[in-house]
Amino acid sequence: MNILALSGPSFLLFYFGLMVVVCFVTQQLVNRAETIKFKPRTKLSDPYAIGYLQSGPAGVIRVAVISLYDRGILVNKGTSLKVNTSKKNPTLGHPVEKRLVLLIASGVGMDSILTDPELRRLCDQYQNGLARSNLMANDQIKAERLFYVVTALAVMLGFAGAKIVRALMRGHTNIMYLNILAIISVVLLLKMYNKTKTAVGERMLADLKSLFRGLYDRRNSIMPGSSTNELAFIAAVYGVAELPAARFRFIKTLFPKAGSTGSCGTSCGSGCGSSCGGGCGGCGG
Amino acid sequence: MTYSASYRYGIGWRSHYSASIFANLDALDLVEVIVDDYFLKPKKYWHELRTLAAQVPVVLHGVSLGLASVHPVDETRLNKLAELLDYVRPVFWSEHLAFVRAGNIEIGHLTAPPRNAATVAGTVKNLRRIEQVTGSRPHLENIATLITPPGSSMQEGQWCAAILEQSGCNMLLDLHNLYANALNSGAAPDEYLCRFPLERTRSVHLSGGKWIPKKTQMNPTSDYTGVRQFKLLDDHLHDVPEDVFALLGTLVQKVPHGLDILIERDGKFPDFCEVLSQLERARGVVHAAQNQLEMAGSPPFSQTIRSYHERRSL
Repeated sequence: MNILALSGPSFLLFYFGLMVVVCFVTQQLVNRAETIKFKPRTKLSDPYAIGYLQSGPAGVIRVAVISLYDRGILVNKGTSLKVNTSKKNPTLGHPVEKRLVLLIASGVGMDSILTDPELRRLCDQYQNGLARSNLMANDQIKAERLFYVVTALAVMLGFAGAKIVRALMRGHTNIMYLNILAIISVVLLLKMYNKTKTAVGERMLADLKSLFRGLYDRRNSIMPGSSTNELAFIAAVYGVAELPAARFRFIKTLFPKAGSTGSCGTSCGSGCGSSCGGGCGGCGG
Repeated sequence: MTYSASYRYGIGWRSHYSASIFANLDALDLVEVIVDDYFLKPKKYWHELRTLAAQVPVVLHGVSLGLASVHPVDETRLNKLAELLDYVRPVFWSEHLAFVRAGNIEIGHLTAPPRNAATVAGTVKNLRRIEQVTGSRPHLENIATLITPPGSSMQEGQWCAAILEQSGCNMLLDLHNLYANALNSGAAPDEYLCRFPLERTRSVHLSGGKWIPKKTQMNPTSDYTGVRQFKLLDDHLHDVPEDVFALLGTLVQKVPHGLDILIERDGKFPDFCEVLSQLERARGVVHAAQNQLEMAGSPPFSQTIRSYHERRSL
């Protein structure tokens, strides 16, 4: 059967199916290549780094806001945050925190804060480290992706091009829908190529969600000011939307686009407990 | 003259401390994970252990093989364990000198078997099978027991030594278990410690427990006296007591090599900084013990902790 001889609507249907299959297979091949050939090479002890991996500069800023709020350096005034002027000489070791406090003290709104060039530059410093660690795309990983994406593009554009030429030779000029589908497939494949997070990075985030499951489950019982680190990790791994709403009422107003990243990745589990009753203690009694 | 015995310090992975562990990776040399949690999970869920191992060296700790028994270990469980060990490649792995099931009955906790020749033989047979399937030998942990197991003809240290000698395994010495067993049997902890094959100890658990009251039984020939006695329960819900740190110091002075020292805490979790301070206390005890040895003029020694894969060939 000559695929190119299919009538217009039939060919469009075929091309749509081909697009879905090619994009799916290409993504799977890219993911497989990334996870086999590239291993994570960093210690993720910094919730800001995890926040960047999750959501870029906005992720870092959100985690920083939570950390500063829990430490009492920022306070909630209505629907905005202000610097707590009664807190003398607050410890601001991180340059992102310093810049953030400066912007908030100057009355800059959160929308402007999220796009502040200097703040974004400070946040983007995480990207280099994450790229070196294979959690975000680097030149080597992009080169690996290129082969699969170019092959997929060749298939999609090849079929589209051949059909267009055949149609035009037969005097058919209604090629608009085919052009649209071809453009969509190019856009999808280019997005795949340019994706900042690698399959290794996504797997890391999924594993962190699973490893931190116990922390997530008790997030509502974390006392204010007692465990800023824990709140920072919850914000980084699961998203600020997962923090206790009663304590962090400002989140919905300040970060309306900050959805949850999901409470569980592909590998949910407690990582704790045993068939012998809570670790291996309490025995002999 | 400086000693270069290599010691490593870590804690048991508990999800309560997940964020704190990640935030303090530099303060930890090891993290110990209960391997049985992953037995029932499909393999795709095991990847989080690899992720954790990429952050900090991981040791795997089993609680449900029940290898100290005249009955063979469950082959399904053993095969799953072998798969996990191969997948995660921990620094080392460990299990308990305990039985947990008999017939089709799951006891639900670690139980001390009678300490006699039959259980030595049964345990050694199980360990040989374990080595055949997994390609490695576990560190074996002594467990706490409130009573001397009925049917015992050997002392605990003697029984452990026989198993280690015949199986070629090394010891994970739980010092609070040892301390509790010593006190509960009326022995001096220091002396009880010396009954164990210390030269085969490669790793140590530190934990805490609590005293529980135990009424005496009524003597049928006299009035009930109501005299209360107390037993030490190793519940892993309390801080490491000073006496156990003292035992660690004694142990350090008696072994010619480094140790992997792990703090266990299963509940009533304090702030993580308190756990870290107990780890620091352990470091201090080790250094003090080493200094004492140095001042006493003992010859220098060095031992690097070998990786899991090197130990497989032992």
